Amino acid sequence: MARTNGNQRGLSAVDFESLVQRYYIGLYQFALSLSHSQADACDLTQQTFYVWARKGYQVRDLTKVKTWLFTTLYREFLKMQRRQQRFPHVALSEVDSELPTVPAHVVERLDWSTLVQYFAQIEELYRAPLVLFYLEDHSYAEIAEILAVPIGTVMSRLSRGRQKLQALVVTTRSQDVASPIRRQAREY
Amino acid sequence: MNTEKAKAILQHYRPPIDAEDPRFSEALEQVQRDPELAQWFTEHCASYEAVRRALRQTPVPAGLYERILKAQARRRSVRWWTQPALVAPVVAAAVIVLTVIGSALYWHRSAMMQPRDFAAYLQTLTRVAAGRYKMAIATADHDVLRHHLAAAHGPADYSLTPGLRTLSLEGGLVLEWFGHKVSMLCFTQDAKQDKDANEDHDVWLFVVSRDALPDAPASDAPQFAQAHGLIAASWTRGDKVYLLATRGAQAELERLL
Repeated sequence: MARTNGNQRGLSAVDFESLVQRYYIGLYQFALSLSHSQADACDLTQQTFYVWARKGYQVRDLTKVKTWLFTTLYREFLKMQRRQQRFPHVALSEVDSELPTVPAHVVERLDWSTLVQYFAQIEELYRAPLVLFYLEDHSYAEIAEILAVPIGTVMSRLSRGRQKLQALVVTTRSQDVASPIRRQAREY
Repeated sequence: MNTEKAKAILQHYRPPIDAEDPRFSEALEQVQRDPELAQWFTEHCASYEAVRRALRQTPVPAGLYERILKAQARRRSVRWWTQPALVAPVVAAAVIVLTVIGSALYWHRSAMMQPRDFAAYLQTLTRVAAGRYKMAIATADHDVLRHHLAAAHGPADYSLTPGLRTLSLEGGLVLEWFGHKVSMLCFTQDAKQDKDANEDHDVWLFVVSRDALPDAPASDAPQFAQAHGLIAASWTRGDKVYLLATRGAQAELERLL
């Protein structure tokens, strides 16, 4: 997906249809990875554009549109989850020594449905930054803005998230090796 | 920077998104010098690309795009007033309309409150004569002037005093006093008859229907007054009220009656 152009024109000139066309796929994929439910992902994507139609005029800088949309979707997801618990911030220094690297030859075999299943098994605290890390071209500053946490916290959650993802991949691979029948992609 | 430290930094590196991010610069330079790190980094980038590629292949349900647009079109048709881009012109138009109505009411109220008695008439018309005005027709012929005044719905069947008949007619125009037409006749006195050739010789006669000024002098005996540097005489004859004005002394005016 193309990156948002640094256009400084007034947002009144933004065509709603063009906006949807440009961002709805990425938003849906983000929503699906968060919610692991196709229906919820569709609702979250629609709701995001509904909020844009009501409040999008407040965004004066076109370069912020993409971040605004992903932030909105994430907030809508949190509302959907009715989460009340505040997430603890973990400092980067605490996880510096943990260097999870999912082996390339292992992940090469992954398909999207398996990945979505893996993400569903990772706590939402780590899932959201992990999806943003892989899915879109957001800078770390943008990811931090979307999640409303400091960049250091994004980094530490990413480390944890990737560690969990690696564990899931390795575990599943062990099961696959043990079983002659390859696991089929499950419905999500 | 040692290998482990570089790995700790580069585990967050995403090719090519973070290529320009300065926080990775030093560690990326380390990759060029450290074969072990370079091998790990190649594996890291390949792993990242594989996950990213798989994730971005997630299919989107058919019709989602159309559903979003349809929902928006439905909201727009029902809730247009929630759109600032649409509300702003409507509010601006309403403000303009209210301003125009307010101004009209204020003007109307001011006009209604303005005094319309004979004293006000005297003040207003002597101010016109003493100020700047433009004759609608320039003529020395009373028939031509009467024709013009009648065409402009001003009083045209006026009667002139003997003194006024001796003056030279210059022209005239039609004014309006609270819905009543006022004929304004402009005369000039012959300079040769005056003692001082530099004296102002203009004389003005205003004629209006008696209905316009219920409190005007009721008789044909002239009443004198001064206003705006002019001496004025007013009287009523038939169904018309006359106002004669000029510069100078009352005697000057009496000579014209």
